[in-house]
Amino acid sequence: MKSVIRWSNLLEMLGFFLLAMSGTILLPWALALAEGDEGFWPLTITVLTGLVAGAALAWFFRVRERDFQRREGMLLVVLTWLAACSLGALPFYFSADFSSFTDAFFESISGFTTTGATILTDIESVPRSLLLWRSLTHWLGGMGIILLGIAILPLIGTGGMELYRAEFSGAVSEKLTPRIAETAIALWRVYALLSFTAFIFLLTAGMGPFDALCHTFATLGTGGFSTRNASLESFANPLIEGVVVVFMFLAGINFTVHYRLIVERNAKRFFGDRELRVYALITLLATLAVTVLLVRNQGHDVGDALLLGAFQVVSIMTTTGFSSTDFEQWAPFGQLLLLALMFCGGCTGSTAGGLKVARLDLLFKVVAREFRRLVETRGVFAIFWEGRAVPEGTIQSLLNLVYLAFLINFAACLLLTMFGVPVLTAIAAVAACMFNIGPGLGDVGPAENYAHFHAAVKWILAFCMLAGRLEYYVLIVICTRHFWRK
Amino acid sequence: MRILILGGGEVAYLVARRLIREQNEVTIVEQSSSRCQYLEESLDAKVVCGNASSIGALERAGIDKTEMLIAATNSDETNVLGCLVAHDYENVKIKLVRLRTHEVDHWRKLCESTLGVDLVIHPDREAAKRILRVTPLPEVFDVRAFADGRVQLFGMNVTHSNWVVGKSMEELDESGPPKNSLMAMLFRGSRVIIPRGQDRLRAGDHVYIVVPTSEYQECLEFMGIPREKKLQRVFILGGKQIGIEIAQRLEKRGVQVKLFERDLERCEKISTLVKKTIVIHGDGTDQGILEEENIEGIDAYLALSGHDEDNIIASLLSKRMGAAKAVALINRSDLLPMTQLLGIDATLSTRLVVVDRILQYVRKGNVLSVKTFRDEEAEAIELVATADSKYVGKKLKDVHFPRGAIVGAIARPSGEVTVPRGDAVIRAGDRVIFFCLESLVPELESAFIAGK
Repeated sequence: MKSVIRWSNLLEMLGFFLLAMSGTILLPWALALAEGDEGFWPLTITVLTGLVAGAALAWFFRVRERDFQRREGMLLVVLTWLAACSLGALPFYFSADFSSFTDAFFESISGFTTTGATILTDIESVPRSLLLWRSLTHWLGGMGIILLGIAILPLIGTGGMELYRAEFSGAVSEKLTPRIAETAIALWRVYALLSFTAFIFLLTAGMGPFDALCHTFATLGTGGFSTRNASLESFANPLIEGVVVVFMFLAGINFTVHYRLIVERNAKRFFGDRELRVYALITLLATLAVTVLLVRNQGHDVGDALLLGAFQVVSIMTTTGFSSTDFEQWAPFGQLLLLALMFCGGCTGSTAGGLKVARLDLLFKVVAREFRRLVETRGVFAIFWEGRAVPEGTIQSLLNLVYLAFLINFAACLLLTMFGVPVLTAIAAVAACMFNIGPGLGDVGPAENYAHFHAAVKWILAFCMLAGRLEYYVLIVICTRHFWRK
Repeated sequence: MRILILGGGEVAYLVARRLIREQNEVTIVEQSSSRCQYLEESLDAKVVCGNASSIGALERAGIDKTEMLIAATNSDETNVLGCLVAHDYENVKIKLVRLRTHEVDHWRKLCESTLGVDLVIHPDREAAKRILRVTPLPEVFDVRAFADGRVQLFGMNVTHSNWVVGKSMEELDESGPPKNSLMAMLFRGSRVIIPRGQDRLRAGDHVYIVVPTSEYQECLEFMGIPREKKLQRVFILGGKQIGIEIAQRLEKRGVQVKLFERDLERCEKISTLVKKTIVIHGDGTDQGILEEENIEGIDAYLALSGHDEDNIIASLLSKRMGAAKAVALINRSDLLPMTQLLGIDATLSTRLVVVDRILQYVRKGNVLSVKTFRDEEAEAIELVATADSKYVGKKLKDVHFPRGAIVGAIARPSGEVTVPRGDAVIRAGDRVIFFCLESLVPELESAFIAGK
C-alpha cells in the first residue's frame, strides 16, 4: 500500500466539489436577483469565486485515475468541509450584517454542520437571499456535502466507501446498493422527498413560501436557523409547531431505515428497527416528564404543555435547536433533562448530531456485559444487536469514540473558561456546538446568541462543530503525526 | 447487471474490479472480516461478511435480485451449495462455478443437469491447456485465439541471438514479414509499450504479435522461431493436480516425463495416477538430483509447485543446466514483471487464467471477449463495432486514436481477416480486436460501441 498522499488527485476532486457547491449558491442568488436585495453582490462574488477556484483546481490537477487510499479519503473529507464552509462564509463576509470573517465563518460552519448557533442578533434585518443561503447550508450539510458530491458527480468509485463512512454517521454502516453512487442517490432522494412533503405541510399550516422553504431546510437538516428573531415562537401557530415536531422527529431517524419503508415498502424492517424503537421511547418518556413538569411547576394547561414539551424535547434530541419557548425559565430538572438529551442525539444515519441512540444503547449493553463478566469470570458473552453478534472491533471503536467525544468536550470547556466564559455557559455551549444543536443554556440560551464571545472562543466552537459533525475521528486523526508519516 | 460473487479471494477481486468498471452492480460474500474490510475499501461493491453457503448470508447479499452468480470460494462444497441455493431463485439466470476436484468431469455433468450451472471452471485444467500450448515452441510464452480461432496472438521472448534485436518496427515492416501481422504490445521490464514505427526491439523484450491463423506458421518462422518440434523429454516440478494433469496429457503423446515431488506419500499416490511418467521422490530444485536425472538437453522444465519462490529458482536453475525451455507457475501477480527480467521463458498464473475464463464468459452486449495481460496492465478486447461509432467508416489513419491503443485485427462477417494498416476502414458489424493499456479500456469501448 502506498502511503504518500497524492495531492493532485485530492485537489482535483476538491475542485469538483467546489464547482458543485457554487451551483447550489445559485438558488439564493436567483432570489437576490428577483428581489433585488442587498445579498446580490455578495452572492455573485461568491459564486464567481467558487466557480473560478473550483475550475482552476479541477483543470490544473486533472488526472486520470480517481481512486482513493484511506488517508486520502479522510483528508479529502476534511478539506471539502473546510472549503465548503469557507466558501459558504463569503456571502456573509461581504454583506453588511457581519463584522468579521470569524463571524461569517462561524455562521457558515454552524450552518453546514447543522448546528444552528448564530451570531446574529437581529435576524430579520438580514437580506432574504442571505437567510435562504443560511438555511440552505443546513439542508446541504444535513445529508452531507460529500454524499451529495458522490451522488451528482459520477467520479468516485474505489475509495468512495471511505468517504461515505467518514461523513455518514453509523455504528454499522451498510450500503443500500452495491454501487456507492447509487446509495448516495437513493439517500438524497429519500431526503428530498421528505423535504418536499414538509414544505407542502408548512405551506398548508399557514407559513409563507419563503419562511416555509427556509424552515423546511432547517428542519430536515436538523439545523435550527430560523428566519425570525424569536425562532418558531414568533409564528405563534400550534399547527406549524406540530408539523415541525413531526418532521424533526422524522429527520432524526436513520435514512436507510426510511429507504426501507419508502422505496422498498418494507414496513416490518422499518418498525422493527431497534434504534428507531429506542429513539421513539426516549422521546416519549422525556416528553411526558417535561409535560408533567410544565403542568405542575409552570402552571400550563395540559394540551399546551404537551405541545411545548414535545417541541422542545424533539428539537433538542434531534439536535435541531428550534425554540418555541425560553426553556431557561423552566425548573432546573427540565433544563438538565434537555442537556442530557443533547448528548444523546438522534439515530445513526440521520441528519441529527449527538452521540446517537444506537451507540448509547450498545454502550449500555457493553456495561451490562461487564457486570455479567464480573460474576462469571470465565464466561464469554457476545453482544447482540438485532439478533446478530456485534464484532468486538466495533465495540472497541465505539468505546474509543465515546471516550474521544468526552475528551474533546472537556478540553474545549477548559479552553472556554480560560477566556472567562462562565462554567454553565461553557459546558452548554460546547455541548450545543459539538452535538450540532445550537442554543444551549446560560449566556447561549434560546433567547441569546453567540455574538458576544471572544473571536478565539468562536474558533474553538467552530472546531467542535466540525469535529462533532464528522464524528471526531477523522478531524483528529489528520492532526496526528502518524497520519502524515510514510 | 446485478452480480453476486461468492468468495473474496484474488480471483473474485480481479473479476469484481473488472465487472464494476463495466457498470455492473457487484456484491461479494466473504467469510473473513479483515478481508471484507479490504474489499470494501478497495472496490465499489457491497461486501457481505458471512459463509457463502449460508442461506441467511446469501439473502442478505440480495440473491433475490441477482442475475448472475459466480461461485469462486476456496471450497468446492461451498461453491456447489451456493449454486444449489441460487437454483431456487428464478432470477439467477447465469451461474458460473469454480471447481478444483479432479472428478470435475462428473461434477460438470451433475452441476449442469441438476443445478442449471452454465459454466464449470477448473483452474488446473485451464492452466494446463495454456502450458501445453506454449511448451513446444522454445521462445513463445503465450498463445491465444480470437474471433473463433481465426486470429492468433502469440507472445515471444526476444533473445540476444534473434535477428530482430535492434530493428525498429518500420525496418521489420520493410524486411517483408507476412503481410498480415502486427506487433501489438511490448513488455519491457515493468513497462508496457504499444509500439509505434520508431520503437526498436531490444534483447529481453516480450512482444505480442497478432496474425491471422492462416499465416501463423509463416510468421513464427519470420520471427526466428524454429518450427514446432516434437517434445521428447520434460521435467515437472511438484506433484500437485496441475502437474499430474500435464504429465498425463504428455505421456499420452509419447513424451518421456519425470515428475519431482518431495513428499513420499504423495509420490506413491501420484504413481497410481500416471502410467509411463517416472515419479521421482526428491527435491526438483536440487542441482545434484537434477544432474543425476540427466537434465541436460530436456525440452522443457515445468515448475508447477505451490511455491512461487521455488518455481522461480527452479526455472532459473534448469535453464542454466541446459533445459531448452522453462515455464514457471506464479500466483502472486506482483512477481510477474520481475520474472521477465530474470529470464524465465514463460510464466503463468492460475488465478489470471481463471479470471480470463470468467470474463470471457461474462460478455456484455457487443463486447465478445476480454483478455488480460500481465496483472491486468494491458488488455485485448474483441467487440463488434456499431454503425454509430465515431471510428466506423473512416480510414484508421484519419481517426484520432489515443496513444497507448492499437487496432490489432479486423474480422469481417464475410470471414475475411485483416491486420489493418493506416488506410483500412472499420465497418459496422466488423469484429474488431484492439489492444490497449488498462486505463483506456472504458473510453475505447464506448467509442466503438456508441450509445453505450
